Amino acid sequence: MNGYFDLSWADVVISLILVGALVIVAVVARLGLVRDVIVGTIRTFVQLMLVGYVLKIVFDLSRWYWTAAMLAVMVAVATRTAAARDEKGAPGRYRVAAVAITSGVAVTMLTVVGIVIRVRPWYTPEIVVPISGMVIAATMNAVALTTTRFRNEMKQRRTEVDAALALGATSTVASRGPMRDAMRAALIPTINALMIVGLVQLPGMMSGQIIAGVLSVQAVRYQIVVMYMIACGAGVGSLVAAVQMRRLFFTRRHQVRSDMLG
Amino acid sequence: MTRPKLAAQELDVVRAVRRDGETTRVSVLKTVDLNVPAGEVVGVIGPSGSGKTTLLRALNALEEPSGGHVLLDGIDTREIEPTELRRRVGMVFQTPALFDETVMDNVSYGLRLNECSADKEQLEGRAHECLSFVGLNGGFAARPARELSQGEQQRVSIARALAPSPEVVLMDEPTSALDPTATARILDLVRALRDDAGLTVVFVTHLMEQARAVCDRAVVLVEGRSVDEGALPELFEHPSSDLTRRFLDGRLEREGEE
Repeated sequence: MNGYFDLSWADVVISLILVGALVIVAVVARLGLVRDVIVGTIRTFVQLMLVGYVLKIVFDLSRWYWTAAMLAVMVAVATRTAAARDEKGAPGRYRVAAVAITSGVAVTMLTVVGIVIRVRPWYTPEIVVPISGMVIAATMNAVALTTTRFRNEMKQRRTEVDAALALGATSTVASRGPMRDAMRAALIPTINALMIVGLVQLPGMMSGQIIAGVLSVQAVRYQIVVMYMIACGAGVGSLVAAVQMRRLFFTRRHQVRSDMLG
Repeated sequence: MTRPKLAAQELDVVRAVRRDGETTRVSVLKTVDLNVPAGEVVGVIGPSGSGKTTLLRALNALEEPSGGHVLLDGIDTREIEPTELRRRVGMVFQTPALFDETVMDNVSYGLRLNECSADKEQLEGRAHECLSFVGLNGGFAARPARELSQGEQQRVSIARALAPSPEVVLMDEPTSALDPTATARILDLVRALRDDAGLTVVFVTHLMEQARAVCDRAVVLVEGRSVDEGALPELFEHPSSDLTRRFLDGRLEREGEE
């Protein structure tokens, strides 16, 4: 194929040299990570193979419920990952992550599928699944950053929050500082990505097409929309996460819940 | 005795604490009684860890009582909106806990919350009044609050608590981070709150000499219970409880540290 280098299974096996280099680094520097590297290598192989087959089946079947099931699994895994990054055992962390990620993804995908790309039928898996994946990943990161940062801010600024409450502030007003800092911390990486996209790293969607030799103006347009989608998902997810965290951290009588501070 | 301005009756506080992912409930206050007559400075004294701060925080509902009552002018504070209660019962913390803004922004914080309609001039006038009450002249207003000395910061925090015109001021060991000169100024201010501003004050301390210096009465807390209560200095001279005597002799603190 013109300008397209075919990759055989043998080539993939040869690429294990690369991981071998990492194993050597891990051994020489005594990082205690050899086991993790091996497990990670196997997981990458198995997971991508599996996803490849599942996607192929879902694409071939092209049924709304398979697309929906696929999205549900992706959101569930993202929820687990985001919740795991928040403090161990913190009450409500799964619910916060689930609601925030679902909201961010739903708002973004409904807009995109409904009025931007106007995907017909809406469940066309070739479009909806990969695009959702990108939005879900970005939203998951923003949600995880929001919850962990909010928790830390509340711990560090406890006396300041109490001082505001003691002056008659509602919990909404008293937690403005932690809310703001948590959301800023969560959204700045996404906003930075909007600033430098294409200058350092070519986004995945375009890279794939370049390697496959079919880079088109379509791909560029899609990538622009994807960047905006990621921004939307992160923004909505972060806000929904922050509002829920605030509800978790205060009682109805505008008191800080000390059990939330750990 | 006439009805106290502020009172705690058989007050219990159980706090949920989470450690290593496990939530446990800890009983911090057990059937505590406290009477704070209007216009007096009432000390809450006791060894560290005895629940003094928690009692103070329960009085303005920063901490939710799990049993018993807090009464403000005879009304159960559960029936008062917490935001309104805290406007009427102000609080000064152990550390100044100032916001990272100017002195003026700090002092006017409570006013801005409650009187959105008040014009800026009126608001700043009130803030200047409170600043001069704590002995800080107008030059301080525009300065970043966190750049002041600890003693000045604590005075700003007192001005901040006074600005919304509370009826009662709760003070939680307000001198614990201060040098002797700054401490003396704060203690003068505590007396001024009572004598010049006509306020009722609850003053938490673990230092006998401070209680002696500013308090009209005191309640002694030991391990979350109120073990003694009375006018000063009589309470210190004739404690009715053996625990009070041991605390006064400094024996409780030392036993606690063992």
